[in-house]
Amino acid sequence: MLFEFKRVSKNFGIQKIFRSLNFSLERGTFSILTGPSGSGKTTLFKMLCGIEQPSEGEIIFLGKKLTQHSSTHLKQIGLVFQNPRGLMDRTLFENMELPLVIDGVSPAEREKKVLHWLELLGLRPKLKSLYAELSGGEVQKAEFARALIRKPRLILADEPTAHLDAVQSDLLLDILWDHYQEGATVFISTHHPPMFEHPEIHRYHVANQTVRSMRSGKVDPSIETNIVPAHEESSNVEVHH
Amino acid sequence: MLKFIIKELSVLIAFIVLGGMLLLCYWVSDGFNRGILAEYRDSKVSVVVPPENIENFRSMVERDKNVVRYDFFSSQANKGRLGNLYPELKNVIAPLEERFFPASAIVTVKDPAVFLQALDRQLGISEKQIVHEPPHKITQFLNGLTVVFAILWVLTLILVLYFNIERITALQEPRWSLMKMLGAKPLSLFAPLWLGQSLRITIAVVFAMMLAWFSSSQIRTLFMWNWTSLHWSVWLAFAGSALMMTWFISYVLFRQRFRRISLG
Repeated sequence: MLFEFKRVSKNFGIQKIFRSLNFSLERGTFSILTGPSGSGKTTLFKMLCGIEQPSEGEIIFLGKKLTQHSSTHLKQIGLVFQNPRGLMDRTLFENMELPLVIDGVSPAEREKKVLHWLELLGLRPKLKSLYAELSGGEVQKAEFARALIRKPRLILADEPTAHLDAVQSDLLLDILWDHYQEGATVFISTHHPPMFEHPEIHRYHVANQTVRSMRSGKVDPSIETNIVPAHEESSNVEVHH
Repeated sequence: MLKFIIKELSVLIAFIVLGGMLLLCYWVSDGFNRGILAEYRDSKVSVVVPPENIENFRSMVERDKNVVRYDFFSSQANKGRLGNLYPELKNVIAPLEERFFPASAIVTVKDPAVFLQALDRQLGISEKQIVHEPPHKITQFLNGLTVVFAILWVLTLILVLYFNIERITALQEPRWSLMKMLGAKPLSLFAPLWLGQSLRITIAVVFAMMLAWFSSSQIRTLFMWNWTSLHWSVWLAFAGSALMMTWFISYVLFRQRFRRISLG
């Protein structure tokens, strides 16, 4: 088990986002979370990586409470947010190499890895451009590449394709799929679900303060406030009344 | 930002002034302890010694390690001293027998309370009094003043570092937030800050030492006394402790601030 939410509730003031949510995410799965804007997808992501604390309940990550992990556990997670988090006064290259600088990777190795990613995403010509000068789509790709450059074990991507056209979106999803094939756990949220289907993809829907597992693109009403991989549902589901 | 800089600058000036005052106060206190207090550091006790206890008294004060020195005055000596003190009564005093005059002693002791107790316990002598005590009150006052300046100095150092961290945070928050999200250790972000902090504090400490040196030279010209200069180790300890505290306080403040920075 990679992540486990135990009776997690989240409120912002009087607004309830989640109510007694039980949630578990297995290692080595590819999951897509859908839901309308404002349903709590980003909040769920923020709780997953410890940015937001649950109002009630606890979150277990790799067998320990999330709060018991040091901040370096974030090195194992590749985070892609909706809004750019990069340093606007630095170049694209400098932004991309930041995770590698933190990891103490040598300059030559850093350059090699950054150039590989820039080439892959078609950003090579923007190498020395300031982050502030990039378009929305370019920034999104850069943020994506920065999250994946150290090959994290878990990739959490909140609307990673929001500002991209269909071709670019497919490219990013292909890259995510490749990482999944190499053993990474991928969890994406989006309100435009990707068109491609694959039996290994788990789909979840967030609405009405809870998260439901979906089958064949439809909400399964028998499964409530629990997320488990589709192929393990029968053994992991806990139904709350 | 200007507000931050003004706050920081005013607290930094207070830090320099208080640092100078601390050194100056320590210097005065040290000079006082080495000068006046060293000269009059022992207490003097006057004792009236009954004739039957003279020998016991002498042997007691010669054995007692608490006694620094003593001056013994026999009945005859006291008769003469009294006559000398009141010349107009000399003719009245001269015919009186010596037995009407007690023997006495002025005993210089380190701890008067212990000595008075010993007199009571061993010889039963009750006529005794402390005639001189070293100026402990002034020493206490000067030491207290030094401690007060030291506390104020540390508090201003905390304020200087606090305002500095707040200003840097306002500038660096997006970067720190991103670095935190990427799993950077706080110490790696603190290290570059430490260099700047220590440079600023070193400069402030040098100014404080110059202020103390200038003020002490003025005091030397105003009050002619045998002032001794502060040992170089005191200056070194002052600068060293300022830097050590800077490191510790700024790291604690930084950790607190960094903890509150949101991820990403």
